[in-house]
Amino acid sequence: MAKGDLSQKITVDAQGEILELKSTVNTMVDQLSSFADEVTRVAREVGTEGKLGGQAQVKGVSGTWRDLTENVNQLASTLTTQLRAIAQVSTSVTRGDLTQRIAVDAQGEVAELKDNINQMIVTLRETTKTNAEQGWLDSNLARIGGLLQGQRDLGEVCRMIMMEVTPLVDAQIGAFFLTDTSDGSMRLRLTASYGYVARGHEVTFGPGEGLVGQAALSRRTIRVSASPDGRLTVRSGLAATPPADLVVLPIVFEGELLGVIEFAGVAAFSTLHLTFLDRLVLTIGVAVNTIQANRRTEELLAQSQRLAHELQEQSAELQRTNAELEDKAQLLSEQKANIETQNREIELARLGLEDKAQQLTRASAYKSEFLANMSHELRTPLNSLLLLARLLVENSEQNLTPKQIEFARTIHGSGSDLLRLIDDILDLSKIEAGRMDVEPTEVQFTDIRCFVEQAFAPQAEEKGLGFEVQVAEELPPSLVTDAQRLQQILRNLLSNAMKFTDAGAVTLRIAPAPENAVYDVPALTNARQVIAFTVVDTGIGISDDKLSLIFEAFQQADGTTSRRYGGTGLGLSISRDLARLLGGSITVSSTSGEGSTFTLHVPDVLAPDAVVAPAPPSPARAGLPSSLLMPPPALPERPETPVTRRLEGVTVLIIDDDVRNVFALTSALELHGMTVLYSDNGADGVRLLAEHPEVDIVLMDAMMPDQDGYETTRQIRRNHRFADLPIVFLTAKAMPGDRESALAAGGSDYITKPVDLDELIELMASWVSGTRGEEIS
Amino acid sequence: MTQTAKALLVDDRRENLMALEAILQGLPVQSVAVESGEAALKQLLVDDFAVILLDAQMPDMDGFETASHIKRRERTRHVPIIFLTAADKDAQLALRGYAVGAVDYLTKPFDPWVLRAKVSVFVELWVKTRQLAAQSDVVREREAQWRGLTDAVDEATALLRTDAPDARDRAVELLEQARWGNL
Repeated sequence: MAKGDLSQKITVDAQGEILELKSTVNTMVDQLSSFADEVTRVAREVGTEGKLGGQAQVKGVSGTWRDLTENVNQLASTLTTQLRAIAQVSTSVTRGDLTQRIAVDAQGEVAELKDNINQMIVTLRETTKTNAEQGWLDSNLARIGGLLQGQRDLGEVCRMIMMEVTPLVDAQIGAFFLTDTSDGSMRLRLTASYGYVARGHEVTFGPGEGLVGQAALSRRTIRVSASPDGRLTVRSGLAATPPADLVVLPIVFEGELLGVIEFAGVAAFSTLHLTFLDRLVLTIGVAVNTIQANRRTEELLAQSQRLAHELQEQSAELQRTNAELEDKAQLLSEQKANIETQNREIELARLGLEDKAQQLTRASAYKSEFLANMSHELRTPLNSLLLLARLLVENSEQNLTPKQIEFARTIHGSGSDLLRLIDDILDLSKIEAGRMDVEPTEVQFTDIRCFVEQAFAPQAEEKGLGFEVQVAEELPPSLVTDAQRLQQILRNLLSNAMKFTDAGAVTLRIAPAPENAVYDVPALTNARQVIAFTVVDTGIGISDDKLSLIFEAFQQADGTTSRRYGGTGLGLSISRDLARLLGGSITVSSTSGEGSTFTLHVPDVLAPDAVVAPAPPSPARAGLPSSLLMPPPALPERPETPVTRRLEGVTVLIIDDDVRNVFALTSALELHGMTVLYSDNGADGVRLLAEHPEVDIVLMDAMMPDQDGYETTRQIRRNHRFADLPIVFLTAKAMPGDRESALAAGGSDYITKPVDLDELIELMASWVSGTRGEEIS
Repeated sequence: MTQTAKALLVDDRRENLMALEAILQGLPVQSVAVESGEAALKQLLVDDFAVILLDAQMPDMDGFETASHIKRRERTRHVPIIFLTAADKDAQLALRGYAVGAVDYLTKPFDPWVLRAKVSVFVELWVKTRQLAAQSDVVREREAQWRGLTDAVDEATALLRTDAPDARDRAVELLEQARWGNL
């Protein structure tokens, strides 16, 4: 036991005191053993095994043992309490609760430990807070940054920032101003707000205006930690609280102000929030800048695209225009080439024309000169011819037969005509060559009258025409003009009048022209007085369409008239040109079949400078008919018919004034073996009929001048010898009444012109055979 | 052969007609002068001509038309036509003249002796034709006479062959009648 083995018990049986002792010693040993077990257990549990809270339970001990037990329990309890306090705080810290402190009393090293742990917790707490703040800052910045990413609409971004950031920094009012330089000067315009009531007007600030403007100007954050006035309020539906803190932050990117953000809150902003805002402003700056840049880029892109598109269109347009231009250019060059060619041709033609014109002028000059010379040369031999012919006509030796005298007279007449023609040609060529001179002298009207009467009265008498010269009394006694030319004109006009007048009268009237007359010749317009020589005839006249022709050289109103009335057609042409030389003009008025009136107007005084060059001769010439080859006349075959034989030997009398018709009819009837007698008028027809009793049948034209067919027929019928003579009427008219008239006049039958030959032959055959039949019977 | 040959002169100018008549003087031809184509046709209706001198250019009916009318009539188509014209240098007109049947075409002024010669040829031709016609008439007449005599002889012979009592008398009468006609 002493050696510490307390498991040993006194097993010796003892009685009494020993027993008692023995019991006591055994009890003591038991107690001691229990005690030692308890102390050992507690020491082992608390000290070695870490099971705190263990207490030695030793019963029935007292005294020292009890104290010892209590001390051991005290030791274990203190150790347990301290460890548990530390463990509890540690557990809390481990769980993240950094608010705990080790509050257990401790001394010595344990106290030191406790303080250290407490300090450690505080440090840990501060570090954790800093980390948390940093984390908040970072995460929120990252979140806002994330939200800002991909945004394109500035207004949307501003609203989003207001929406997100204002509550994040515990602000109740937020405002976002964006820089606006659209109208030239920089303005800060309220773009988005949070909880702010703008009073119905646009909120803008210039640089330096208000805090916003100031922040923008100084590019620094401005903080106002108390509401300077009561104007800004945080309004809710219920309350209006002035804000306690206000911060204005400029948004700057690379030195350029992009906008200003303002926040206000009823509580002061924490440093963290301010830091956040400061950092956020940078992010916003980047974002806004990016968006603006993007937008600008987009705008520029759009613009450039638009421009590119426009450019493309313009380029296409340009290309098209270019192509068109090229086409046009080509066309133009072609046209230019054409025009050049044409120009060359025209130039050549012009040169040719000039050449021709010169040649013509030369030729004309040559012609006129030639004509003038030729006419002169022609006149010379003609003189002797005329002279000798005249001598022969006089028959001074009385050895010519009347026939020979007539021949000589004809020679003289023809020669005179030729001389006149040559004179005419000479005059015309002289006038055309401009070699005709005028010599104005004073001419008495009585002289003119004398000359005209001498020249034309015998001719008029010969033709049985009336001829009169009337000189008006109001005329001055004389006029100044070229007497010879005036005579020539008057002679021309009068001889024309005589030539074309078969019955009636030719009158020359000399009188002053009416004051109000209008002339197209300046000399007449300027003249003090104009004298009119008017030649009036009652001849064949001139139709309107020929009036303009007659003044042309070699023209007369009618080509056939030319031969019927002779003359060259030069007279009027010369007269007109002479009238121009005298400063006057010739006008004509005429009615075909009733006569013509030619009027010569001349000024009373011919001023030498009034002479007008004659118009160039007209190239118009009446051409002779060209190719007029007629087919050789086809002779009708002699028809052999019974009718033909019946008509053989028949004598027919044709009374018709249309010789063409008669001749054709005669040809046909002679082919049938008939003998044709002919008369071109009724009277001769009747006479012929009386002379030729062998006439079997008469063909009678209904319409004849003087005595028509009806009258002739009646005359024939009055002779009883011809009562039964067949008379067949021919008439151009196919009027219903004609047949009756013909039959009433005594005609036997009737046939219309143009005559159908077969019909006529048949008709004649029936009448002739009928007559013969009567004779035979 | 008492009928004289006639020449038809056609010109619208009297002095030309006069000249033509003068040229033809001395020829055995009677000149008939007319001043238009119509007048020429009228003359041709009532008379026969040995030759026609025709002016080509006349008012109204010109020479060419006149000639074409003449050539269309059987009785006048063989009458020779000499065209006379003042328009020289125009071969077309000459062609036209020949085309309508002219035998000659002379341009004025022509040599009168040429015309005279030509006309005299045609006159001679006409006279010859006339003589020929007259002679053929004579021949025809003789032939008819001869045939009559032959017939009479035949008839008389036939009569004599018969034994009729008056055959000799009738034959003699027949022959005498044939020889001397119905006297």
